[in-house]
Amino acid sequence: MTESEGERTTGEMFAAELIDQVRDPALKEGLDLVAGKYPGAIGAAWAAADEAERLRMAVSNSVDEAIFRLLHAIDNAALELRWVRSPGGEPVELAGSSDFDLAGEYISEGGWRDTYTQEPHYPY
Amino acid sequence: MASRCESGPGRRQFGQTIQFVNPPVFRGCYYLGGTGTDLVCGSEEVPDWALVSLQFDRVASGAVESGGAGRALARLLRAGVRAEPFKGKGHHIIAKALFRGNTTYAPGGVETLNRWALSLSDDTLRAIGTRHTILSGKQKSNYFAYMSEGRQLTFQGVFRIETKSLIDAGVEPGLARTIVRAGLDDLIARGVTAPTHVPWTKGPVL
Repeated sequence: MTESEGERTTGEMFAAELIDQVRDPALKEGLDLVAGKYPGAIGAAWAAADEAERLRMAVSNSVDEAIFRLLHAIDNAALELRWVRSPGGEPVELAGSSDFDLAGEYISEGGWRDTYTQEPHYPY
Repeated sequence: MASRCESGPGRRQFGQTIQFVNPPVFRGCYYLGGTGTDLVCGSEEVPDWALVSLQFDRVASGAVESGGAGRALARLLRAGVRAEPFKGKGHHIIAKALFRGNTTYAPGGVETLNRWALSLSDDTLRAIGTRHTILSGKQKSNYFAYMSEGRQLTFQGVFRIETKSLIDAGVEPGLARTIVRAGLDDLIARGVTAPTHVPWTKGPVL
């Protein structure tokens, strides 16, 4: 990414890509879920839940969806991000640095979310 | 922007391949989509919304017109499923990690392949009864389960795993098979002969 491309700065370009890849699709998924637009088992689970349960589902789902979208963007090099494991350490490329896709590793049964979270979450 | 078809005179119908004088992205072979869409090549302009998929130049030479991915994609279109080359968003029908580490596929290597391999958008995933997050999770679980049985991973195995993943994620079984067949045929038409890496594991294919 160059410092500027046309009128947009690096920060603006990053922001636009972040919102396009992560925020907007995650929000759209969440809004569609809340609107009851999902068919099959997903829609059935939503339809069967009471109001309190739906609220928990929507919040949990939105957080997971946003993280999934961020990791998916990294996996596909739409957002080429680096991570520093400890202060002063060498930055590590996240995309291709592992033998698995980050997004699938996060969201799958027995994956990172299941392993590390201290909070409830839903498998859909 | 509309593009003019140059595949020669004659009517091209829904699901058939067409080529263009001024292709929207690059010279290649496009599929005509949209229910009931057809056009008369050599005379009509083709709107972008009618273009569903495209192939590499070697495919545009005619290899696909006689079958393979063309037929599979046409079946997919008739089933109401719109698949597109991956453009930075969407779900690869066939897990891209299968080809990690291989640099012989397609011009530009595996990263180029990843960009052009068929994918499903969020809207399409919703239309077939699933979501991206669910499907990715099922893929990982099913690849892991398959490999834990000590089986060699071939395209036949990939077909089983990807089909099961779609079904587990809520897609109707017949449609799931059609989608995965189209994804595999598309890769084969590009010259991919076998997977080289087992997704979500540390090892290459045995």
